[in-house]
Amino acid sequence: MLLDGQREHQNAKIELSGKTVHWPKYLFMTLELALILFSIYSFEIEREQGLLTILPLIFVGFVLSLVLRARYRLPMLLILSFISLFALLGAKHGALVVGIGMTLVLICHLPISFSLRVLIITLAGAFLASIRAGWIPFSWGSAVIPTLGSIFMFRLLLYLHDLKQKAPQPASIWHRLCYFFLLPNSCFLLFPVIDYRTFVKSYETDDRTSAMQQGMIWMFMGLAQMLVYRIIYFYWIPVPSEVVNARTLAVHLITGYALLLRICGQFTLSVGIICIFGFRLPPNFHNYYLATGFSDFWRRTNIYWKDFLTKLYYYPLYFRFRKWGIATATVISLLLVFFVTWLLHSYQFFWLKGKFPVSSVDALFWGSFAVAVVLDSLLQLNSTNKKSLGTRNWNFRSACMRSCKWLLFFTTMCILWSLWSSASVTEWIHTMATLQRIRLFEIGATVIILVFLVVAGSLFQRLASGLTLFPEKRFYRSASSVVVILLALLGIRFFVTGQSHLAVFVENIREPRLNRRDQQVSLKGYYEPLMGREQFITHFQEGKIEQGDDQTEPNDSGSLIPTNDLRISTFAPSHSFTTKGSEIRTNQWGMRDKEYSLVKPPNTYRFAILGSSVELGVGVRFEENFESLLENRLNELDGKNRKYEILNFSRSGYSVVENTVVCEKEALMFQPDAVLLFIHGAEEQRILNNLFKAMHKGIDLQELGKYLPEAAINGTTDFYEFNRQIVPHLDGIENWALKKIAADVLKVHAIPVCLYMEPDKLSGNRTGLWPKVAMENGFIFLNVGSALVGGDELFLSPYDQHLSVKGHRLVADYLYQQILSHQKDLGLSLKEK
Amino acid sequence: MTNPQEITDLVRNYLLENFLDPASSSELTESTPLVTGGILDSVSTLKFIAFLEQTFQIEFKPEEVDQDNLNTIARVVEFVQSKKA
Repeated sequence: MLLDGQREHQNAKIELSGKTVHWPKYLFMTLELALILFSIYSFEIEREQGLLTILPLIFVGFVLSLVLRARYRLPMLLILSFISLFALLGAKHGALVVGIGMTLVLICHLPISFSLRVLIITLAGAFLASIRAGWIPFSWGSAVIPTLGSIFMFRLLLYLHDLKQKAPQPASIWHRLCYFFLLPNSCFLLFPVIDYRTFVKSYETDDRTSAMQQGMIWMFMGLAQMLVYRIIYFYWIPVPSEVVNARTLAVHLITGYALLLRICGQFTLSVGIICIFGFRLPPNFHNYYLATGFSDFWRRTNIYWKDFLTKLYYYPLYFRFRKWGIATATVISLLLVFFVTWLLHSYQFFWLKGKFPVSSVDALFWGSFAVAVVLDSLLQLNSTNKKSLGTRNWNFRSACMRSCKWLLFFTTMCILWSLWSSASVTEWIHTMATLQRIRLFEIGATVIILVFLVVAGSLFQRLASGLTLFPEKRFYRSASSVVVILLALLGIRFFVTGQSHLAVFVENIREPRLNRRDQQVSLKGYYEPLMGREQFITHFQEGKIEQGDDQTEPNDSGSLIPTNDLRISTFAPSHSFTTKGSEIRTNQWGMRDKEYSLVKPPNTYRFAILGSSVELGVGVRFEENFESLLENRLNELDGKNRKYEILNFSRSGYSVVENTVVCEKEALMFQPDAVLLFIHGAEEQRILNNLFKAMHKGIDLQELGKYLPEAAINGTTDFYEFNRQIVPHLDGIENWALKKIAADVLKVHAIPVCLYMEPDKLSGNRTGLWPKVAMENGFIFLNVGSALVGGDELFLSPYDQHLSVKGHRLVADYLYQQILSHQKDLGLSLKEK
Repeated sequence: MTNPQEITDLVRNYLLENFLDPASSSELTESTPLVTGGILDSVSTLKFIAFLEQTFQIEFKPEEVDQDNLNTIARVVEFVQSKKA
C-alpha cells in the first residue's frame, strides 16, 4: 500500500547511470555545509532552541546521504530525526513523541472508512488537547505535547486532505514518516507548514545537486537573517520609556517589524536543512520587505502558510460562494479565511503554550489585514495592470512610483505590526500618541528622509536589477559566494579582539544576549517573551513560564506587609517563601539575613546593603549569596580583632527611590558604618513602575513634588501618560534620591558607597552618568559590573540576569578586594592574609 | 474543442490579453511557469479559472486548482483535455 517501487527503481536507475553523481560538487557542498554549521555553532544561533545539539546530526546525515544508495536515504533521514528527538527531549519523552506520532499516522491508514479515521484522529487530538490544557494530568504533558503539536497540528490536516482526495500521490512509508518527523522540527517548534504533496513530489525529482545547493543557500540566508535580527535586537530596540519623539517612535516601529527576521530566519533555515537532503521545496519567503501592497505581502511572506490556507480554506470557500459572482465570492471567502487565520494562530498557540488566546489586539490586527487584502484584491479584479516577463526597462518615474508604494506599505506594516506586538490596544494607542508631540522640525526632517529614500530606492532598483549573489544555474559561483562570506564572517568572529568598537560589536553579537529592554524585564520580576510577542516565544521560555519560574516577588499575601510610603510593601518578619527555586527566609526585621541585634555590638563594623532582587540573592541559597560570602571572608580575615556584619535590606524590584526610605527608616536604625547602595541598568524603568504604583495607592509623593506633574501626584493619569511626563525628570529624581541617601548616611557619620551592578556590555546610555552623580553627592563609586566577566554562567540563565552561585562568588571576591583597597576611606585597617 | 493546439492558442491569447504586457509575447511559451513565475496570483487564478470553465465548458473542483494543473500552458491544456475526455 505504501511502497513506491517505481520511484525507488527510477532513483536507483538515475544514480546508477552516474548522471546525478558529481563528486567535486558534493565535496564543495560538504565544505560549504561544514562552514555554515560551524558559523551557527560559533555564533550560538538559536542555542536555547537546541539547534546546536542537532548540528552534528545534520552534517553526518548529509555526508551519509551523499554516499548511500537512494533506497537507504529516507530511512537514514528518519532515523536522524528520531535521534534528534531523543537527544533534545530525552529518552522517555522522545519515545513518547515517536510512539504517539507513529500511532497517529497509523490511524490515518486504518482499513476503515475515511470518516471513521477522521473521527478517531479527532478524539485522539481532543485527548492530547486535554492533557495540554492540564485537564488530564500527565507529568510528561508539557514536555511532549508541544513537540507533537508542532509536528501534527497542521501537517495532519494537509495529510488527511490529500488522503481524502485520493490524489495520485505515490509515496513510500519513508516519505510519509519523514514528512511528519522532519529533522529541524525537533528544535524549532514554530515550523513552516509544509504541504504533503509538494514534499513528496519535490524529493529527488530532477537535479539533486541543485536542490542541495538551494538548501545550502537557504541555510546561509537563515543564518544571516538571524544574525541581523540579533544586531537589531541588541542595539536598536528602544526601551519603552525612551519612545518620546519622532525619531524614537520611528526606531520603535521599524525595529519591531524587523523582528520578523527571526521567524523568517528560522523558517528559511529549517527549509534549507530539509532541502540539503534532496528535497526541492519552493521558497517560503520571497523578499517580503520589498512588498508594495497587502496582497503582495500575503504572497511573499510565509508562502507555505498562505498555500495551506488557500488549499484547505480559500478555494473550497470560494467555490461554495462563486455562484454569487467572482467579486462577492472573493470578499466572503477572504474575510472567512482571515477569520480562520486568527483562530489557527490561537490554535497553534494552544499546542505550544497550553492557552488559547482571544485578544482584541489579534482581532484588530487580523481584521485590519483582512479588510486591506479584500480591498486590494477587489482593485486587482478590476485592474488592467499587466505583468512583464523578463527584465523590465528601468525608468526613473516608474521606479519612484514603486519606491513610494513600497514606502507607504512598509510604514503601514510597521504600524500594524506594532499593534500586533502590543500587549493591549490601549498601550498601542498611547505609544502612537507620541505623534501628537512631534515638532515642526521633526516633520521637515521626516519629509527630507522620505524623499531621500524614494530617490535612493529608485536608483537601487536600477543597480540591483538582474543582479543575484547566488545564481541558481551557476553552482560554483553560488557555492563560492557562500564560502567566501562565511570565511569572512568567521574571520571577524575569531580574529577581531581587543577594545576597538568593532571588537566590542563582535563580542556583543557572538552569542545571544538580552538587550536592555528585556534585561530590565527579566530583573523586574516577570518575564515577557524575547521579542515581545507571545507567538514567537521559545520552548525554553515557555518552560520557564510554565514552571512559574518568572516571579521574584512572593505570591502569597502573607509574605508582604503594606507600608504607607514609597516602599509600598516590605517583607514580613520571620517568614519564608520560595522564589526561583530558592527559599527566602526573613529574620525578625524582615531582612533575608541572619538575626542581628538592633544595637550594634561593641567592636563591630557594620555594612548595610540597599539593593534589589539581585542583592537579595534570588535564585541562590542564603549562604551562597555574595553578602554571606563576603561577611564570612571578612570575619575570617580580621575576626579576631573586630566583628564584621553585613545587613541585607534588599527587596525585589526596589530602585534607588524606594531605597531612600529603606535607608532612612530601616538601615540607619542599625548604626551602620558604611551603606552600600546598589544601582542597576534597569533603574529608570523601576522608578517609573514603582512611582506609578505608589501614585495609584495614594501614597504621598509630595517629597518628590518638584519633579512630578500635578496629574501624577493626584493619581489622575494613566501609566502611559505618567511615563511620558516623568521621563524628562528621571535625572532629577535619581539625583534627588542619591543626594538624600548620601545626606542621611553622612549625617550619622557613616560612609556612603554606590555600587553599579551591571555587566559593562549590557549597560545603557546612562551608565556614564552614575559615577559622576554619585561622586558629586559624596559616594565612593565602585563599578561591580566591570567584574562580571565570564558569560552566561554568571547568571541564572541567558534570560534571567539574576546572579548565579558563580556570579555571587565573583561579586564577593570583587567586593572583598575593593574593601581592602578602600579600607582607609571606609575607616578600616585590614591586612590580606 | 479538444484540439491541443486550439486550446493552447486560446489559453495563450487569454493570458497575453489579460495578464501580460505585449512585450512579453515572445517570452510566453508552453513551459513558462504561470503560478510559480508570478503571472497567476490568487486573484488572477480565479479569473483564469472562470475563463477556462466558460470557454471549454468544464467545471473545476477546489482541489483541482493547483500547480499540477495550472503552472504551465502545457499542463492547462492537458488538464482541459482530461476534463473533456
